[in-house]
Amino acid sequence: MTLILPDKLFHLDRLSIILMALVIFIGVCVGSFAYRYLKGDTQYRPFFFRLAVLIGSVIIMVSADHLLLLLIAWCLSNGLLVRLMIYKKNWKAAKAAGLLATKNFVWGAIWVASAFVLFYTATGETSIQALVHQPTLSSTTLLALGLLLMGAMTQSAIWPFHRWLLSSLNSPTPVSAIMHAGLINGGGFLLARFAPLYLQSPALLTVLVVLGFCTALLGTLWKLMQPDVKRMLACSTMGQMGFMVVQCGLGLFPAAVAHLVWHGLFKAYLFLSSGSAAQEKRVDLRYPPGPVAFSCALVCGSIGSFCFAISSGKAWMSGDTTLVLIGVAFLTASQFALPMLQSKPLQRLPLALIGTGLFGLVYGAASS
Amino acid sequence: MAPMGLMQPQPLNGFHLAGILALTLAWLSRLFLPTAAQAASSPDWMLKGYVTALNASQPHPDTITTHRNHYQYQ
Repeated sequence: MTLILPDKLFHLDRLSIILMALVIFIGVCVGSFAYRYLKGDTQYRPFFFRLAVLIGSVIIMVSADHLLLLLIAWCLSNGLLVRLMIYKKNWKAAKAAGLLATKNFVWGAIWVASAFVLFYTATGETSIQALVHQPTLSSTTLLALGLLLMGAMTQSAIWPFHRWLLSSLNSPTPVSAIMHAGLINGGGFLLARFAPLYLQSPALLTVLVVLGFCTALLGTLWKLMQPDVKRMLACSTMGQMGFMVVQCGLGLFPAAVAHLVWHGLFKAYLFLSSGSAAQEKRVDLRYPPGPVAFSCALVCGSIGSFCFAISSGKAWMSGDTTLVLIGVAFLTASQFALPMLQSKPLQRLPLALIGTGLFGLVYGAASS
Repeated sequence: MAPMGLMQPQPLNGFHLAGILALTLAWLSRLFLPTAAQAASSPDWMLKGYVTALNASQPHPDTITTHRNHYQYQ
């Protein structure tokens, strides 16, 4: 399902349509939240103007087929994000956060631009579709892919380029929501757009796996230590971006895109509801779990990962990188079942089995 | 996204196995290791590691709003 628009500036495929739908949906949710949240603010109208232009620039970015158009949309959307982050020029902390993000995005733009120049030098192509269907990789193209990877890392706050994200929390909540649900996905989009080239380089895929695992572990560990809800969410975003990069490195790009979409949706919800965090019920997880509850959770994890494998069209026990994804699905489904099984585990086992089975089926269907 | 042909699993290597092992160990330690509140005392290396990780995860000092009088809502 592809559509080549006139002048070959744009290319609509499933990747661009999915990401356009995501960013428009998140934009509408954030806009309807900000409609009341920012009422009376002097920056009320400029906020909506910048938000609309930002969404437009992201739509151009994900549908661009020309290297220069993609680069311009990339820089424009990051510039608008920084302007939204600073929000008011007399907010010193927000201004410092914007400056930090600007430095990060400038480095990212330099690396992406250098990669595009190298792509053009090596192939003479400006069309991304023509570029990604090159049959072999030259050393120049390989270098360009490395630079593109650096650009993606700066955008998606992959370690060691994470500092700007953790420092961006004094922006208004709607800005944090569009940042964590929308613009942060730019790195994942860039990797998925150039995926056919990355798939030709096992060494670069391994680099993605290592950096992704480091970021996922660090972000998740740091999340557990944070004293306030927005810092927890920022560290959580870092961890989720790390796991998304791992999936790219495993050669499972559709799973990475599905992860971006799920993460974008739940993170936007969590940011927009962060003001209500103090009213949430605290559930005592009663760790460590008893041996019966833990064993039942492992059975549920097996069923959940099996359903995930079936609905995503993967083998449950394969000898390739699919096994890593199935392993993560097993851990996730086990953890999903554990709170249900903490008391009366044997009586609640059927309910937990149905719950984890459905969880695996839905997540697997989205990742295929 | 199946028609795009972007689902191409790679052969397993040591990095993949180390990564999934690290995730599994992290999950098990979260479940079974006692928290600071439950433990009678924590070894020095763990306390130092905790403080190091906590410091590494903090925002840049200039981006923290310590004085609300610089942060007027207008």
